[in-house]
Amino acid sequence: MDWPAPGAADWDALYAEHLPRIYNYFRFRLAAEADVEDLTARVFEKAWSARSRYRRDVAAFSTWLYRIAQNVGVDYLRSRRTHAPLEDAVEVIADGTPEADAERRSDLARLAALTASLPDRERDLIALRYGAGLSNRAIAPLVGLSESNVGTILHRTVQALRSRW
Amino acid sequence: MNDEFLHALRRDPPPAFARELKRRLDRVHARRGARFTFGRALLAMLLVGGVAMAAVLLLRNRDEVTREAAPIVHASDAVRRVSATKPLV
Repeated sequence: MDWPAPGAADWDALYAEHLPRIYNYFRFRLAAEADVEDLTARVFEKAWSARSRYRRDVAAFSTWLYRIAQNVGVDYLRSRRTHAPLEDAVEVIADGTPEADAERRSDLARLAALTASLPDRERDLIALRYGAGLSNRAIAPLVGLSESNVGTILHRTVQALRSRW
Repeated sequence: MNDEFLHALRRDPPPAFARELKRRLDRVHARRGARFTFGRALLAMLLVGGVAMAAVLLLRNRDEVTREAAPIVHASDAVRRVSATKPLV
């Protein structure tokens, strides 16, 4: 994934690129559709407010933005104290045929029920990989693991989920 | 279940939400930009004012030094002149 130089960043393009990623990160990670929008908005508001403070030499733009998302997610979970199952979140606003939406909703609900039993790190990895659509390389600095470790853990996690599907 | 299946569970955020958030971000950024411009202008004004005040104080100080120094020279000359004309007893 190529990230534009933030010094001369096209923030509109960054918004268009990352909005669906951050939004789906929270869909995979957390609960309640309304909260997903709220949390997504919070990430972008924080990032936009700190635009001038972003230091390219310290972290890549993706690392910076997803770190904000992770912190927002952690604060949210801490404030709720309990992890509501992700199926609560899946009040999907129709963007396809009703049948397709219903099918996707039930698949995501099922996945949520399965991932609910996973450790927090694995849930985060699943959300970063399949929700945000990040590569293993982009995920590695966010979770403090090597790229190959990310791949190994994800592979193992998906296999475990598949066996229980 | 595989990668493709998991990726397919993604969906785009509602367009109305995306539009509204973008509008809010643009507004926040514009406000911050205006505040930043005002702050910079204020700082520049303070700097210019400070330099001007320093220059005025410096000039005034120099004038006072010159004024104070001048009578001393004249006074000592006068004393010397008086003492030269008066015979010692």
